[in-house]
Amino acid sequence: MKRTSVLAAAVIVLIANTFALAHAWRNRSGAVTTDITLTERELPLSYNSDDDDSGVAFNLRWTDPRGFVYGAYDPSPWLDQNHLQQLGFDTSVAASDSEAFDYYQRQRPRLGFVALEFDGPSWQKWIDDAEAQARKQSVVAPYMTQANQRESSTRLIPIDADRDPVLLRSRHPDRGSAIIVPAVIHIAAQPGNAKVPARLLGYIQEIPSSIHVPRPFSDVFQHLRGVRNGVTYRVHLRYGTSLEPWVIGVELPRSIVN
Amino acid sequence: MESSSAGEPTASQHQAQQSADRIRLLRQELATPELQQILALTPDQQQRFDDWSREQLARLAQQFDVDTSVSQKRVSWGMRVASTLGGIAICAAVVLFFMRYWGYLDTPLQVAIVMLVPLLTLAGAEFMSSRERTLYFTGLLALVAFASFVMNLAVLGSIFNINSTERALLAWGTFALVVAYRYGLRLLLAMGLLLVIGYGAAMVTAQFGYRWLDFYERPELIALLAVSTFCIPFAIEHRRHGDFPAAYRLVGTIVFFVSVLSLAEWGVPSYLPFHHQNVERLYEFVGLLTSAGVIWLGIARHWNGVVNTAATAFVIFLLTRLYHWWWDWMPKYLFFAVIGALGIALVMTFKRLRGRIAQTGALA
Repeated sequence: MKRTSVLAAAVIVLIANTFALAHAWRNRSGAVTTDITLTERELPLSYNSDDDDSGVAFNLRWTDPRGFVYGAYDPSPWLDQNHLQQLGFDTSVAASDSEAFDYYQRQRPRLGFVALEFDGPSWQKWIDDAEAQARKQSVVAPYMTQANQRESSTRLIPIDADRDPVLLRSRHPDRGSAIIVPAVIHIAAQPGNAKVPARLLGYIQEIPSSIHVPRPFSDVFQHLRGVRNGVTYRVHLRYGTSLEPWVIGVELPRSIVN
Repeated sequence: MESSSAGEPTASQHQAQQSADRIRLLRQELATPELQQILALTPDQQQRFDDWSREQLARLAQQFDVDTSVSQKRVSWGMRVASTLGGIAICAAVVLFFMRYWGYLDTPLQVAIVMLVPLLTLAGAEFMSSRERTLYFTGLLALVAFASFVMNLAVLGSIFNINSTERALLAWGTFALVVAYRYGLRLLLAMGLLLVIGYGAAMVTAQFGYRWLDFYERPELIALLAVSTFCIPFAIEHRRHGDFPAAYRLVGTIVFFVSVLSLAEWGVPSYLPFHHQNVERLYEFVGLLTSAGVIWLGIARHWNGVVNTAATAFVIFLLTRLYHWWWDWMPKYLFFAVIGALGIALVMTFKRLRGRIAQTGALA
């Protein structure tokens, strides 16, 4: 009896580990919710400032051309009042109301799920628009050069959101091109202007982005420390029942592997 | 084993130390010529007192390893500080060492290591507790066990890309509390209480569909949990750990005043359906009133830590209120002059209060 409390502490450690491992096992042994191959554009290596951390991780990179900043100029943003209502936000105060700014500022971000489309029509439209914009800009200010976004930017674009990941998947059934991930979504009231009326907009504040790279896939990246820029690769990624990812394969150019 | 660790004596050791201090002071006082004239002990009485006090101090020193001289007390303080700082440094070393090499290990080995380290350091703490009475090394190892457990779950989450959950706070908090009670460690008790308060707020936040990491955005909930923490010692008697209630009260008081202060500065996160500026004014007054009330309670109950914390909170609330009232329209020199005058007025008030308490004490 004298050692009951120290045994209790040990049991807490064991239970917590069991829960974590069972959770991971359940995620990976159940149905695969996404099975996709991405590249270094969507999964750049996480930046390590020094050698104190030998772990290797990818950083899921996505872009939201219709997010809060750009969405202000978008005549029909997809994360609109209907979506926000569905996500659980209280939209009872009209965006044009004088109290709307304060009212929506006080609403906290909510958890939901978003569908990220890979290299689909949304990205095509976005890159076409971005290039058209760049061409216009080059006429006005030819000294400003644009990076070649078509070859370098991520092709993951959020296209839909819901409270229920199953419903979201049913709307975007292609498991090879749309990833369903948890997300933190924020609401805001946008005041009206000459072009668009006052309206409620949502924007994606956060998506879990760090993806651990286990051995043996991480070995080659360990050797590439410091020379990561310009390295191209493809990553085979799966998401399980808990919508948590894991790496099942990494393809690198033969010259690097050798 | 009655006593405890990293510079934190358990209740019995605490009481033994108080007893030793009283005997030491009595010996010193009896040696002064003034008292010798008043008491005028016979040589026989003096001899018996000397023998008794020496015997008592020796017994306490042997049984509880208490300090029987001022020099010993100073050294003990140094040892407490050194063991706490050493514990923190070893925690950092363990975590950084693992981070430095974990990338070269296979997943099963990574999992095995992070799971075994807290268990082994816990076993080490238990082993050391049976070997030492002051438990400096036990406390140090217990701190390392706690840090290793934090690293354990954090690394598992990272390896398996598990979406973060508030339940980790509960696991860490419970572990810290169990170990704190096992070895009588106030530092781990405070950490455990903070984690459990965090878990309570995060759980409610997650229940309503928000991200649990935003739990601090509703300070009223945290303030409520802080009040509950403050009240726990009223409901649970701490016979073995007589110094724990003070830690509960201190954690409760600090967390409560920080929550109220944050609402007084930024009222938007409040549950109250008022304009945020009205919420801020309201919490400024709540802060002033509650801190004054807690000072009174602390004085009445002889809770020194609570009095000091509440007095600090009172001054902060007063300064922020005055800042909001006067900073913009008053010349800066006048503002600081008024603050200085208020400081003097406060000192005089406390002095009168102290005098009154001394009078009451003398009459009692």
